[in-house]
Amino acid sequence: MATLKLLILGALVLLITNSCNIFEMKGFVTTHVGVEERFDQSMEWNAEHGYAEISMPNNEYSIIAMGDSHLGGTENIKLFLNHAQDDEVAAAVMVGDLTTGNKEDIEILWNELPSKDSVNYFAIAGNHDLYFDGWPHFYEKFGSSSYYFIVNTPSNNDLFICLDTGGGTLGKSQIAWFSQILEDMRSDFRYCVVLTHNNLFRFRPTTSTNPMVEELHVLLDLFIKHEVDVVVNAHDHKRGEKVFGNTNFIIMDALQDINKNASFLKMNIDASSISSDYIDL
Amino acid sequence: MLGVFILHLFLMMTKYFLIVTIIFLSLHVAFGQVRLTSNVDFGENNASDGAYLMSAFGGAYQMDDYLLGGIVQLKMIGKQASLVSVLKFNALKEIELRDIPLSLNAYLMFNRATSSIRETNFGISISNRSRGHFKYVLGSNFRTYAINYSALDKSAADYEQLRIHENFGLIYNISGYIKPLDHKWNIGASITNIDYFLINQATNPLYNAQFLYSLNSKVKLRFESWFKQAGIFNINAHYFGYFFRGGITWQL
Repeated sequence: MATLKLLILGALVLLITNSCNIFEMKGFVTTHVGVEERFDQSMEWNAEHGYAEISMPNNEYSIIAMGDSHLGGTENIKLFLNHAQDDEVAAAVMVGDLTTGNKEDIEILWNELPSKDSVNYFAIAGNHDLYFDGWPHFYEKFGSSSYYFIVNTPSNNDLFICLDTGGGTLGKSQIAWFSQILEDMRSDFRYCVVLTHNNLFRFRPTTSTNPMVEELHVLLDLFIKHEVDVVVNAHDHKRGEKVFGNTNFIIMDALQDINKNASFLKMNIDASSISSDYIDL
Repeated sequence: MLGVFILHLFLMMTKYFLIVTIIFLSLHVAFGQVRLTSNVDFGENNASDGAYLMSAFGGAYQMDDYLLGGIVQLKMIGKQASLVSVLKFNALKEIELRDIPLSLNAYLMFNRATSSIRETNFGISISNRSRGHFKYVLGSNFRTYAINYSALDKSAADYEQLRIHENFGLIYNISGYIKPLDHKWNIGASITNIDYFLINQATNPLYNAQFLYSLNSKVKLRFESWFKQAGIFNINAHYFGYFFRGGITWQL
């Protein structure tokens, strides 16, 4: 009897959360737009628009990143975007779960964003951005979710690769593309940073999921072979950092307004290293 | 060339099968019950870069309430780093808890993973020994990813960390069968994050369907069909992969 009550309660919770536009039950079984289709569209967008190159006047610069803003609430995203306008910040990367997937929330985010002339912002889709068929709206505003951008300084060039793991897997085509990018381009750059929403490691017990272990093996192999310096993740909502070989794996806090420990990540890049700080809000 | 390749595969499979068989036959002659197992897996997933074919040979030795076993998985076709892909040892003790027949299980698994990465996985679990329609396994595992020294471009001492540990992961298996578990034939299905050779994170369950058939009291056949989805607990499920497994178990 107690079990039955729990099951009924669980079903009610699921029904309520589903009807309140938090998530869709069908997400446990399928998705609106699969990773291969999203990747094809991202590549089409990249072919049309090219890859960004940002030139900085000094050899030292910063990249700021955030994840899990889950708009609606805009207080913290405003603070983040204010920081993005500092002179030493080359780019601001929004690493997924930016909205709830509802079109209205994507519009709210879009309205908060400054012009690309004042801030070089980049966005990656997270799982929440894909809920309620959110991908077409994300794509309409931000375009590609699989791309790279380059930062050029007077002495060096650095490579930043953004990957779509909103569905918990990179998919065959994106893995092949990522591998080829590293093969063809990595040696031309001083530092290589990978940014993707889904955290790769489980630093703590959590219900948030990770890429499948087979996929993780392949990614770790690529990071080691091609000396990826930093991997920046979100998704877990709680900061964590571990070094593994050449690579520093960083998980960010959630930027979401209701998060008491909200922060964003600031990576300081200079000739000797990439150091990072969590900027608490 | 194809003929030479097939002959080479056959000889490698035969060599490992003979080694395992000789070890366990010796134990059987000396003491108690021995069980030999052989599997073949064929499948493909987002990370496998094409289809793969794996074979496995193992054995288990049971004496009274204790069982010790080992199994080796070999790469036949695929992008795996080496011929020996996975080596796994397991131990089991039959117990009773408040008159409920249970098994206490432990395993230690070494996965070659890639040329740069290896994984060690240790787990303990408890499972029921019911002959009914359901089988349950629940436990915890400890995973370590490590970098192979051969992949390093500097001395190992120059690196801050060459291992990452994920501790106290949850492992589980819930299986249901249309016939009682000791029936001559059976059809079943499982939700689990445990495979013989790969333990996924708790939030990445795998599904399988099984067909089991006992040829006689000593020889059992099994056919399994596995389906993998990523992102289920992202509430954004995506296809990841599948594989089919055919296997035979021979109790000496």
